[in-house]
Amino acid sequence: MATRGKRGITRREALKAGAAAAVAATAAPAYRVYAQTGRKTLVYAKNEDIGLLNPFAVNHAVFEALDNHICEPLVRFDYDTGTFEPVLAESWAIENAGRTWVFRIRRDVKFHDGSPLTAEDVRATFDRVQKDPKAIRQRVNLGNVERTEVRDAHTVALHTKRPQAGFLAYIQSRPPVLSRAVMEKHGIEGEKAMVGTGPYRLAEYRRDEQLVMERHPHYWGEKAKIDRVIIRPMPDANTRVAALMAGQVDVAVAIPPFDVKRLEGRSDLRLLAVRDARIHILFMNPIVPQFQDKRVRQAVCHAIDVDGIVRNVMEGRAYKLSQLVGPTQLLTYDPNLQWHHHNAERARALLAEAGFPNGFDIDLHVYVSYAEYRPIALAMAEQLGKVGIRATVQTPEAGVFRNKWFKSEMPLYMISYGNVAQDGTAFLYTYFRSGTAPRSKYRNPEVDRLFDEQEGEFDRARRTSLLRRTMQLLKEDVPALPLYNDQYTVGVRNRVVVPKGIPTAGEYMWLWKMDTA
Amino acid sequence: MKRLLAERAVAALINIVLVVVLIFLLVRLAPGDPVELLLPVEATAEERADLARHWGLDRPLPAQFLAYAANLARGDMGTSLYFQVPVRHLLAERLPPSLELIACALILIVVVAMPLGVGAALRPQGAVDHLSTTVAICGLSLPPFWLAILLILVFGGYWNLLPVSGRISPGGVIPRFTGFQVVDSLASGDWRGLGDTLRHLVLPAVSLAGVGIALFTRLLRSGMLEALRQDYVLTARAKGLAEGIVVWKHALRNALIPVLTAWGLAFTFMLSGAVIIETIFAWPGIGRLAVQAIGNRDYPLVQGIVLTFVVLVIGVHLVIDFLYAFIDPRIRYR
Repeated sequence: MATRGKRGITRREALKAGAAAAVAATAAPAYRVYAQTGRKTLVYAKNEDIGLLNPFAVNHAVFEALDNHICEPLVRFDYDTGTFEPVLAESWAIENAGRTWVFRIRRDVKFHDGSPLTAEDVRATFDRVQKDPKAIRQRVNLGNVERTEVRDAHTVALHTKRPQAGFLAYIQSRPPVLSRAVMEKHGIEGEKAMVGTGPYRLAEYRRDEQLVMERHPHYWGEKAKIDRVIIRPMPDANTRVAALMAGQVDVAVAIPPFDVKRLEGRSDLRLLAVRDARIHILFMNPIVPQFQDKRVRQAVCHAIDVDGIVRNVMEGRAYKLSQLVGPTQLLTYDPNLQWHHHNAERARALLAEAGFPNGFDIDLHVYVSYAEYRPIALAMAEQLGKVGIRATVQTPEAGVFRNKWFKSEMPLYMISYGNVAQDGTAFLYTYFRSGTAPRSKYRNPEVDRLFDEQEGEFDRARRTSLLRRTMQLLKEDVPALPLYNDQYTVGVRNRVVVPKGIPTAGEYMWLWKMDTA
Repeated sequence: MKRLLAERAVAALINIVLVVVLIFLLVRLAPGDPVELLLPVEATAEERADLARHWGLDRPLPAQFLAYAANLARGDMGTSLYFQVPVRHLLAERLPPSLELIACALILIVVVAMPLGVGAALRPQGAVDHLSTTVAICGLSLPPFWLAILLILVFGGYWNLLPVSGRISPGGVIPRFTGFQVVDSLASGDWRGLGDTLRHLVLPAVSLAGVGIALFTRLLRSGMLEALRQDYVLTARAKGLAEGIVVWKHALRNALIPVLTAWGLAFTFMLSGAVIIETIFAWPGIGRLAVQAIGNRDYPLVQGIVLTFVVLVIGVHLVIDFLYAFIDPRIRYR
C-alpha cells in the first residue's frame, strides 16, 4: 500500500513527478538556440560584458556592438589600408587654417525607429559628449572641440580650439551618433536610448548574460547577412575555449597563447590571428633617482631580452616592438628604427658607469588583468637580476595599480594601450607629453615642441617626418622599453564565413560582413 | 522561545550595525579611488574633482557615513557609482541566480553525501566506504576553480554533454517572476526552459559542492559510526525495529547534529566560493557583481553586497540554531 504523506502526496506520485522532471531535464536539446526559428543566428563569446548600455561610457571601443553595429560613428579607421573610411560622413574637408572640420552627412541613412539622420543628430551627439556626465569618459577625445555648427540639414562643422592634424584619430569609431529626438526623451543610456543607424538593432540586453542584436532591414549600407547575433560574455578564457570546442558558441575572441595549441589541428574550427594594434611597454619612472641617469635606463633596455620573452613566455604568439609604436601607427612608425638590443654585458658596463657597479633593488609592478603579465614580469626580473638589478615583481589589483600610477609611486611598470589608429598620438601624449601626462612625470621640452609642431602640420609627409623625429628622440632618451604587440586570436567554427580583414588590428569583428553556412 | 528569538534578533542587529560601520571604513581605506578608476587616465584634475563632488566623496568621512546610515535606515542602499542604478535593483537582479546555484549545490551535497556517509558507516572498509574515501579525498584536494575548469573542459569542451556558461542557452528567455529560473520556468509551464536551466546548473553546482560533499561524507560517516555504537540503537534493534528505521530514523537523526552546523558553514563558504565559480561559468550572480564592484571601487555597491552577504549568513545561522531544537529534543534554549 502506498504511504500517504502529510501533504497528501503518495510516494509513488512523488517518484513519478521526480522521473518526469528528470526526463524534462535530459530531453532538452543541446545548447543551440532552442527558441531558434530557422533564421541565421550567430553566437559570439566576448571576454567581457558591455556593462552599461551607453555608447559613451567607455573611452575605448573594444565593445564593438554599440560603437559600430547598433550605432555608427562618422568615420572609421581601416587598419588594412591605413586610412580613415567614411561611415555616416560621406566626405569631409578642413577649413579655417585647420581649425574647422566640415563633415557632409549621408542623406540615405535612417535610424532604427525610421527617422532620417540629419546634421542636427550629429551636432546633438557631439554636444552631449561635451555636457552629459554619463559621457565623461569620451569627453577627453573631444577636448579640442570648441563648438559645433549645423550648416545645413546634411552638413555639420566642428570648430576646434587649435589646428589638430590628427583629429580624425580621436573621433574614429566614437562617439557613435544617436538620434537627437531619442536622446532628448531617453538620454544616452538604457535599452530605449539605443536607437542607432547601424546594421543591427538592439533586441535584448541582460547584464552579464547576453546581448541580442537583430538585423536592421532598412540599413543604408551593406546589409547584414546573419539575422541575429547573440553576444555572450565569458570572462574566463577556459570557458570560451571549451564552449567553442563544443560548438556551444560560433565565435570566441581573445584565445590566449596557451590555448592556441589545444585548438590547432581541430577540423571543426579554425583560428584567425591578427597583429593587434595594442602596445605593451615597460615604463621607467623618471622621478626615481636611479632612472634619472639615462645610462641606467639604457641598461634596463639592454638587460631585457624581448625576443626571448616573445619566444618562450608568449610561445611565439606576439610581435616584438622595435619602437614605442607598432606598424599600424604608420605615420609615427619608422621601419628603420630599432630600440636597444639585448646585451647583458653592455647593461652591466652602463650600470657601472652610472655608479651602480653592484646594481640596485627595485619593484617591478604589473597589472594583473593580463594573465601573461605575471610570467613576463618574472622573466624580466630574472633577466634584470643577471645584470645586477634585483627586481621584485609586484602584482597589485587593478584599483591599487591605478592608484599608485596616479601618484607616480611605481618605479618600473608595464602598461598597455589599445585602439591606436594611424599616428598613435593619443597614446604618446598620455605618457610622453609634459602636461598631458601628469602621472608618467616624463618631461622633454624638445619632444613637446615636436608634438606641438606636428599637430598643426597638415602635410602628411612633413607630419610623418616630425612624428618619426619624435620617436627617434624618445629612443635616444629611453623613457621606456617597447615590448610587444599581441597576436589577437579569434576561434571560429567552420559554419561561419569570415571575409578577409576580420578581425581587425583594433580587435574589431565586423559581424555584418560575416555569414553562416 | 520568544525570549530567545528576541535575544538572537538583537544580537544579529548589533552584528549588522558593526558590519555596516566596518565595511564603510574598510572600502574607503583600501587603496584605489572610484574617481580614478571610472575616469579615463587623461581626465583633468578639475574633471576628477567635479566627479568626486558629484558623488559626495569630497565630504569628510563622518558626513559621508551619516548620509549613508540615514539612507540605509530608510531602506535606501544608494546608487551604484558605475552602473548608475539603485543598488537594491542590482541586488534583486543578482541575488536569485546565486541563491539558486547555492541551493542546488546544497541539495547536491545532501543527495550525494547522505547515502555515501551512511553507507560507509554501515559497512566500514566495504566498497561504499572506499568510494566515499575517494570522493572525500578528491573533493578536498581539488580546489573548486580547478575542478570547475576540469569539468568545463571534459563535460563541455571534449564531450559536449553539458553547457559551460550562463544560466540558459543563447537566445533563451524565461519570463521573470521571482528571478529563480527553476521556479519561473515551472510557474510558466516552460518544460524546455526548466530542462535547459537544470542542465546549466549542473557543472557550476558540482564545482561549488565538491568540497562540501567531501566534508559531509566524512562528518556523516564518523557521526553514524558513533551513533550506531550507542545503546539506544542496540535497544531499537532488540525491539525488532526494521534496520531501515534504526539507521535512518534513530541513528541518522543523532548523527545529523554536527552536520547541521557544518551545513550553515557550507552556505557561508559557498557564498564566497560563488565569487570565483560565477566568474568561471559566466553566471550572472552576486559573486560576479562583487568582483566588478570591488574592481571599480564602487563603494555603495560593495557596501550593499557585503551587507546582503552578512544578513544572509546571520539569517542562515539563526535558522540552524532553531533547527537543532527540532532535530534533537534534548537541546532546549532557555
